[in-house]
Amino acid sequence: MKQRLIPITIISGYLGSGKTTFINRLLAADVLPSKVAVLVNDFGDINIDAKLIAQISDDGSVVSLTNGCVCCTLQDDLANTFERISSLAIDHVLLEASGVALPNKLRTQCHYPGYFPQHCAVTVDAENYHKKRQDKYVGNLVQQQVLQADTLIITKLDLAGSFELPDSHDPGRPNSTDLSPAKQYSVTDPQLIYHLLEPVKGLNYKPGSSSDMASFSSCTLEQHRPIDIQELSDLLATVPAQIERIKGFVDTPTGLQLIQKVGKRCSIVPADAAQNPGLVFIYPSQAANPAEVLQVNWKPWMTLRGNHLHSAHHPEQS
Amino acid sequence: MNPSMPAADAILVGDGRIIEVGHEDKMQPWLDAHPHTVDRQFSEKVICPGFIDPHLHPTMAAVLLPMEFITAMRWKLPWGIVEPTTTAEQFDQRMVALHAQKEPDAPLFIWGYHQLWHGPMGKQRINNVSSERPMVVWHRSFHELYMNDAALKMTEINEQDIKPGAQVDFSNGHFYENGLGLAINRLNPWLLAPDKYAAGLQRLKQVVQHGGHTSIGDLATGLFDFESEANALASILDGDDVPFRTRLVAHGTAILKGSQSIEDGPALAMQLIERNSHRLKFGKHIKLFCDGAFFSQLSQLMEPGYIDGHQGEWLMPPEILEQNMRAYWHAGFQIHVHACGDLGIELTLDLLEKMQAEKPRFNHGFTIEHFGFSTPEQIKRIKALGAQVSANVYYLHELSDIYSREGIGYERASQMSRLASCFTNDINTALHSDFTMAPAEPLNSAWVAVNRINHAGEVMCAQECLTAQQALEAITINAAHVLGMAADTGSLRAGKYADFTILDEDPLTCDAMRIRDLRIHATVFEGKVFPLDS
Repeated sequence: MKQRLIPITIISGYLGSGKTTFINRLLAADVLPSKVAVLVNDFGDINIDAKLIAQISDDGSVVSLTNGCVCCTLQDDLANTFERISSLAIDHVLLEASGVALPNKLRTQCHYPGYFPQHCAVTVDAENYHKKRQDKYVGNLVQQQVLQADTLIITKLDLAGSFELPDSHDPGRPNSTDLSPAKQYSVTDPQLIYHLLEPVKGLNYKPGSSSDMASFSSCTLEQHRPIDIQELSDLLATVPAQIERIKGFVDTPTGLQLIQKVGKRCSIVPADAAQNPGLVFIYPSQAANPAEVLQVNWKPWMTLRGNHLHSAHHPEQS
Repeated sequence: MNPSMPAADAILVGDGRIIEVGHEDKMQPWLDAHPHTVDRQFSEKVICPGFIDPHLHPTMAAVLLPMEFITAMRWKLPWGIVEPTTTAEQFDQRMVALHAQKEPDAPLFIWGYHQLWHGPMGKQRINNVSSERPMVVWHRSFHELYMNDAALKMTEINEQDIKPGAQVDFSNGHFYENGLGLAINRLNPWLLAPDKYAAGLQRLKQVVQHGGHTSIGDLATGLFDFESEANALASILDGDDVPFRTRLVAHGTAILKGSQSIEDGPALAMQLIERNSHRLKFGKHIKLFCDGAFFSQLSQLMEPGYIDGHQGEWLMPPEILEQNMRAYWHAGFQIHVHACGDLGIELTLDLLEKMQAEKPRFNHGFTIEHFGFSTPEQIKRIKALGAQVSANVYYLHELSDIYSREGIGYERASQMSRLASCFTNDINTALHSDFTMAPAEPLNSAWVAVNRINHAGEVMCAQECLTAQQALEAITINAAHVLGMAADTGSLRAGKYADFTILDEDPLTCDAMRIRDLRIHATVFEGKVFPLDS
């Protein structure tokens, strides 16, 4: 029997931007549906009304609430916490992220067996955001958090009066471009929690990509000899693991083929127009450059283009 | 390392302490007053102050050391030298040989794989060695591993559990970055079982002795689990057979439990001192964390950053680091901050400057740990603020070649570990291994610092080479200062512990390229001789 995966809603945002206040508000208003597990960094700042507490685990790390929800502290790492709560009767997780975590990295961590990242909201402090985003140390981080969000929760509007995201975020880093703006909600909006527990449409995040990788690089092989289709298919199946995507055209004895490979899925179909034969291999910039391996394995048919050590840079996987 | 007496030909020892250093004939008053024996077993040897590694991680080492090593770099271990394995064929041959030696059914853990030398790794490649025995091949960086079919079965990891984006390539048995968390969780029964962990610590004990150490620093006690670590260390690293002492520096966030606040930290850290035994001592020290690891290119860099434009990480929000620092600074602690990139070091120095403005302190011993890439301007600030440096100089040897091409560019890669500048500016500067990040061999660290030769054989920034004298200070007296032990060890003078490392040759006069190969004949810990049989 296939087990249903538990969706995770991530509440991210920089330190002091209102994550804990928001979670306290949810707990106090008793608006969470039954069977939600709330994972928080620590209980120190979490206020749970004594009337709501049904039971506290021996080690104090799990608090069961009368409405069927549980609160857990995130001890050491996320993977451990997922293992710990897997025996509990829950059907949704609300995860309070560390202030320095990036949404894309968190999404990857939430692909733990039994779970999946459904929605990532980022709290934005209306009063301090504009100052914080220019901070020498965390300016880039808070901008990235906003750019990687599905939903923005605007906090402290009562102090700030109004809030608008700057027209253009500092594009100082390649991955800060090309993202659609997230939907904004005021933290006081009563519809917000229902929105957060729903799947999102038009995500920034493309499921299936290892999008914690900030950027991608590529290298290109140019073909100088036709290759047998079976041999081609074998070679495509054994490229180094860090390669996430392959595209291009390959000349075979039966004609030019269009190649597209994403993860394990590979398609080889006859090309319908004349193209220069060659393949582009795309891999996360943080991973090892596979050029040398490719150069050796594909040598009889293809050669590496240009200076492979200075691989091309891709702002976003397209 | 006592500048008032750089060399001597005799040492008088009693009750584990040095009574006098100098010339035999000048010691007569002591000899006349007390019964004594003359021991000439080291008369053809060189007696150095006992070596000190001020930053390593016994717990991580205990996990790693029971594994088999297949590495591109040479690793000298007490149970044998691991010769470099630099091709895919050699790697496979080593796997086959290890499989043949190992008792049947036991899982085989291998550490040290790196694709630049050993070619693409994968499940099938390991299956070709054995599909019956569970085998796990761990990457040198520790950030990824590969399992064969038997290991996947052993850990009960199933293909349907793995979702896209989990950084697990199940068909290839490959777990990396975040996907590694799952693998480690499932492997823990084999890695952290109490008997395995204890066996690992026994091996660590041998490694520390063979490196010639007489003192070490555990620079994050509580890294995995505070109580179980502290208990295991107490049972294995104290006792008459242990030839070294350990300064335990608690992990600043690991000592807090439940709803305890950062401000509770100093009082909790002070309570740890009550656990002290003869060889294992907490002190008024604390370890805090700034930016990400240098090995994984997650250090925070100032402009122009990394070549591919990725960003480093903060290990805690700067405000939280400041809150921690303030609590321990005002309580009079010596603070050790893990800071690797120049932006991480800049933040650390900004915060230290703030603390100095709030409450000026002298001799505070504030230490920048790791010190991967710094700027010349920061050297002046470190001096002005009275801080010291404990550097992992091995970065330069292993990483400077590849980082010059695929990381930060040649200029900055060649100027990692800006150590001669620290000495010129009279900053107390020590060398550490961060074992298991680098070999726990002080002579190897000293060799890198003196020669600055990377693994590709290129000298990187000769201007920052240390002299042999400076390097020896960096693994003895300066390291003792970092650990707050300088009154008791780190140099040879009357009153200090009789902690010696006995070498066949003089590291100050030998060919600098041979420093790492000098044979360690024995160590002496508090007057007791521990021979090395290698």
